[in-house]
Amino acid sequence: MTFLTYLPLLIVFLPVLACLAIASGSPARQTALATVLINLAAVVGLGFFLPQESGYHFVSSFPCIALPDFFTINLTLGVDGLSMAMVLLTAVVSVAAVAVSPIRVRREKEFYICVLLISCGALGAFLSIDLFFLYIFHEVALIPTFLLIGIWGGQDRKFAATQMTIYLAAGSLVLLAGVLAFYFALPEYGRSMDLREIQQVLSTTPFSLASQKFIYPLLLGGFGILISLFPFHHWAPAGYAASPAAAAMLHAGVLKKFGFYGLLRLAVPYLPEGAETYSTLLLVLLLANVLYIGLVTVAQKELNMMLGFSSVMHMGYIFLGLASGTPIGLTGAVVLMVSHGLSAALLFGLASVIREKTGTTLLKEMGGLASKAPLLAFLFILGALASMGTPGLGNFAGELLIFFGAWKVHSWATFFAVWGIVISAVYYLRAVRSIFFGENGKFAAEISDLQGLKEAWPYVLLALFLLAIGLYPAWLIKMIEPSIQVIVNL
Amino acid sequence: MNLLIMPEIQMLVLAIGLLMYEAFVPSVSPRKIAYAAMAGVVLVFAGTWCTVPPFPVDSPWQALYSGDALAVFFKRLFLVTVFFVLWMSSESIEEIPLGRSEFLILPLFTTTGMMLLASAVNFMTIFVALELVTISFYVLVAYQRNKAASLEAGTKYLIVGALSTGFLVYGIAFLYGAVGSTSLSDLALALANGPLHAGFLFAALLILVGLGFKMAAVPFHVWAPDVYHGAPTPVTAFLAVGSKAAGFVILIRVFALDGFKNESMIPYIASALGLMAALSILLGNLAALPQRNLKRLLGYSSISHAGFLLMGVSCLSERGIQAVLLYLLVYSLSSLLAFYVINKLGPILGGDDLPLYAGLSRRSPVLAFSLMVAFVSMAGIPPLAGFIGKLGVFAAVWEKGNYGLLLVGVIGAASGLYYYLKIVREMYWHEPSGQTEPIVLGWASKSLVLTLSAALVVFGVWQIPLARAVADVLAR
Repeated sequence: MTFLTYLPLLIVFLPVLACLAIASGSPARQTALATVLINLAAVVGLGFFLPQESGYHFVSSFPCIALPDFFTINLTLGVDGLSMAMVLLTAVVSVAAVAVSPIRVRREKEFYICVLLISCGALGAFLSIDLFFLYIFHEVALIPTFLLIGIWGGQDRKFAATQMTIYLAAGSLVLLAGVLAFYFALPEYGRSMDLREIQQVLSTTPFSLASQKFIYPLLLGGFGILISLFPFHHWAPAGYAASPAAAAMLHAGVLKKFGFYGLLRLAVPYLPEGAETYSTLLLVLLLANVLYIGLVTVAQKELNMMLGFSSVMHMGYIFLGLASGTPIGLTGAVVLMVSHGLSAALLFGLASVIREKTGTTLLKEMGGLASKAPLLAFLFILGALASMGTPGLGNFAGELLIFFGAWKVHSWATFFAVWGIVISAVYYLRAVRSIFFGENGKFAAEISDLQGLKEAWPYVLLALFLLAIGLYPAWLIKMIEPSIQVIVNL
Repeated sequence: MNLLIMPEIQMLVLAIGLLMYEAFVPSVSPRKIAYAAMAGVVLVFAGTWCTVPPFPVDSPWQALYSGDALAVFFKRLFLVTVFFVLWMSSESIEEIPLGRSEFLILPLFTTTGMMLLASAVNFMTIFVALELVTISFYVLVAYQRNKAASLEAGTKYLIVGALSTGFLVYGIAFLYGAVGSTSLSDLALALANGPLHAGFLFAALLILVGLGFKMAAVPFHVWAPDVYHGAPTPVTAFLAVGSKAAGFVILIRVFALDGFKNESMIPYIASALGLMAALSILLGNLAALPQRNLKRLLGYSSISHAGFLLMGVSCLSERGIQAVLLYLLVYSLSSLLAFYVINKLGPILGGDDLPLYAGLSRRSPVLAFSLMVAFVSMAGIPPLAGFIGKLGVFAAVWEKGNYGLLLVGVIGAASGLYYYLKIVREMYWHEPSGQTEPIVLGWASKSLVLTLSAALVVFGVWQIPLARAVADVLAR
């Protein structure tokens, strides 16, 4: 058991060690790939041994005081069911992101260092039990993302990267204000950054109504900007469209979910009355995410922009699950967080393959790819179907649970949100038609398919996890159930 | 003999000794002088751990000079700063046309003044020490006499500095009229026992104006960008770190710990400091946005940092002061790192303009990485140390319930990110233009910049040593 206790620490810091190794000369791509694969194995092992009880397991703690008598902060790492699900998502997407990166990428060392640092930040954020480190680890990813998009990005990369970075930094600062507000609203004797102690304190003396009303909007605003909640979504589509595949996969797939993770840890359990006060506002915003952004997505003419907007749109559903506050809705939200992460990573990865093969991102210039590249087409259509919410794939399980959970509480909002499925079917089917079917595009002549499993395995890995969640969601639900129970019962 | 253990006297002996040596052995190379000075600084630094009090307990000196933990903290900070300044100067000594050895010895006098300032608890010592600092800076700033920019900077600094000294003296005179003494503890006593009258407020305002110039806080900041731009880079670093910290140690002593610290004064002081903080943060960060010269940009950014530091002081609480000390530590680390790299690159790239830094990451990955770490830390992005400084200050302000000021701080920090990223962008995104050959670094410089970068990363997540250093200062 002692070894397992330190496993989270190893998982978080292995990418950092790998970065140092790459900086001092070890072959970049091989090192990075080995690192993420070891991490995936470690995460799977961790999940295998994770007990079916609520609370954090495998906790290790190291003192790191920031200010005497003010903050007592420890680097405390550990997992419960909820963080396990997110860490698993991170590990899988990291493997895919490293694997799909072009073999001879320009400035290879710096590229893989950036990718590994993003992975490290996400893993650390999900494994931290300390509020301070939860926040800090998320920020670790900020500058590497900036560099990844700026150096290796596509069109408009300069504007997109700068906009995205400043947006995210501003969101983080709002979030910091929220975290400070949260901390100082705790009763004096129980001021702690440790999520376990916070839980203990707040289960006996919950926040007053006034402080809930004050803290909730700060947290919602801060996390909302990171999630791209309408009207703070503007950075996301442009940023993802300009990103290299690895950055888009990790960001849209994993980092964005950090916002929901934070809300699930802080806002949903401890600020229920704050959430109630602002619930109408949140419902309006999330419907704007689903319907308005959905319609904007339909209007997109570029594949990457479309995927970017679509990933913004689907955040609305997860918000709906959170807003419901019911166990079913919250479970659905987590399932959708994981599945959307996988499907978004799959689609962004394949979109970069398509862009490379056809040399264009305009939907109308592609066409007829299915006959030349059936494997590519199959995987892309699988991802699109998942994202649309087709039964049998992970997203469907999540969305269904969310709708069940939300119907009881916010039936009108749910009624409108369901129409989003139709909208996403419209744009995904149109995209699939114009990329893979119909007349041959200008470029379709010399297109080659993915070369069997050797090239396709990262996508197959993502797709397998999507299928696993879709066909048998019970394993995931069972994993997160204890954590959801804790959140609901507080 | 007790006096010899005063670090100021040790510094003075070192400086005068080196001057004499240089006068009698003119053939000695400036670089040797630099190494001797650095070795001496290291010895004095080590000596600050020797804790014998310099004066007998009830000597009259006690009213002028204090050897408390706050003084020792700042003395160490100044010694570390001058060590780096000497290192930088010795590396770029070819940029100095004449009087190279004196250029390396003068900072020792400046440091003596700063160290005396850290211990000054009487307006007389404060004034004398401040003049020692300022006058040696007048010379240092204008040292590149073959460059118009340096001379212009020197003139500006001289005029503005003299003006601010005038304000300070005027304030001290008023205070003497009101209290009948120049000692800080007498001032506190007078405030505690007598009624508050306008004389105190007027004197406090004038003194604040005088200190505002030293800290480069808005609205007394106008000199900073020009002087930072024109002065030799090591001197700019000295101004940005040493001079600023010197201004803050006086500010803390006079307004937050002793002196004017009185129930009746607190609302006035807090709002005046808060206003200066808000204006500095906004103006510093916004005016830095369009800058194209790195030293000038850092001039504006140092104005904004003065604002963040003032935010902490304006809390007038123990936590506020702790946060300020922590902020100063990490700010000094990142500033020294940034200026070291800029100083190193100045002669190689042929200037400090932003476009010259294009593609630096291709030419020297180590220097580009270090500069990025320094700037991102200054921007306050976790997990680098600068974030801890900002967090402490924000938390102290939050505790005081001054949400408006906090909002300004958040806006300032977010907009500051843009110009720091602009430099990162130039170094990493762009391809080198013009020269493309790699820049060769000696092992000493390489290990120095890597150590400083590592320190900024490590202190961002593990602050026990910093926190302990800061906690000891106020534990009496």
